[in-house]
Amino acid sequence: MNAMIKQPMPFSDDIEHDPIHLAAADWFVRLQSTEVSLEETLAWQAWLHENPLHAQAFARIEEISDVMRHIAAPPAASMRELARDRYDASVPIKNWKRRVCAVDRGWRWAWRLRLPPPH
Amino acid sequence: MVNAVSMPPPPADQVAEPTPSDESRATVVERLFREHNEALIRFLRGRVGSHNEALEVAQEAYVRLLSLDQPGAVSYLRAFLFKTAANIAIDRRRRHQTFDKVTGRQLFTELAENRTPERQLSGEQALGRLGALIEAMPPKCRQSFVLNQIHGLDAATIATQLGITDSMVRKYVVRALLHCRAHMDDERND
Repeated sequence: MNAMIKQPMPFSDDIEHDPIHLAAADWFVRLQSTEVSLEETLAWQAWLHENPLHAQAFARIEEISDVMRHIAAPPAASMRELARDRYDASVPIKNWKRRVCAVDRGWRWAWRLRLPPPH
Repeated sequence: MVNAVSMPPPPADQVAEPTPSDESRATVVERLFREHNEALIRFLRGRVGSHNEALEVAQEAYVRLLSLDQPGAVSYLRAFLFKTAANIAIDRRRRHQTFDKVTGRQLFTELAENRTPERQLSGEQALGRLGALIEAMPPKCRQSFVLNQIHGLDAATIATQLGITDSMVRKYVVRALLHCRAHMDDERND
């Protein structure tokens, strides 16, 4: 058992793009809803037992909620921040951050070179 | 028997619960599920480690209920459901006491809960970095995640607050969970 823990992770390095983790997080969030149907609960169980990696990924997502109990809630976002937010969850957050940085750099360059704004 | 004849008719909701036949058993379990699942989950939540474990225990109890040879009336089944669930929870706790070390509440939780001064400090720093990661998330995503995972609000309530759909809230929370998970793995590998 100990040897198992020391083995490298069976998942890809890129957790944010890993389909099993995506499915695990999706189940985790769906099950936390107050209205979970019997069918959904059964489907989740079936998914968990389908592949040991599924159960492992689910436990790894569940672990986050343990950690969250120790985190102080950050201040709420302002209306202005919320209104300006264009992130639609279609890509992982790390990709969004990268894009925001790139756009930001683009603007700065454009300003320096007095070019029309990039699109 | 004579007495039984002179008894007033049972209230309407009891008329609707005769001893279930095989074909209606699934329906009865489904009815128990709809009416008592939330109470059952709350009941179990105090007995197991996590919300999802409570769901798993509840699920096992329903399965046992479905396999009963002689199911009785709904009121009996309800009592059976809660008793079975409590027993399953106890069994699990016993099993967990031996397996806990192996499944490992991993680095983060360990650091957060282990109270030697150095560890406490590095644990707090790790939690601080995770807090900063959350703060740097896109605002609607961050808000959905914080309200859902730290304040415990459900997706529908958050959706109303932010003026977006439930499913969007869930998508945000999923992305945020994965972002945190990736960060925690990076820290663990350092």
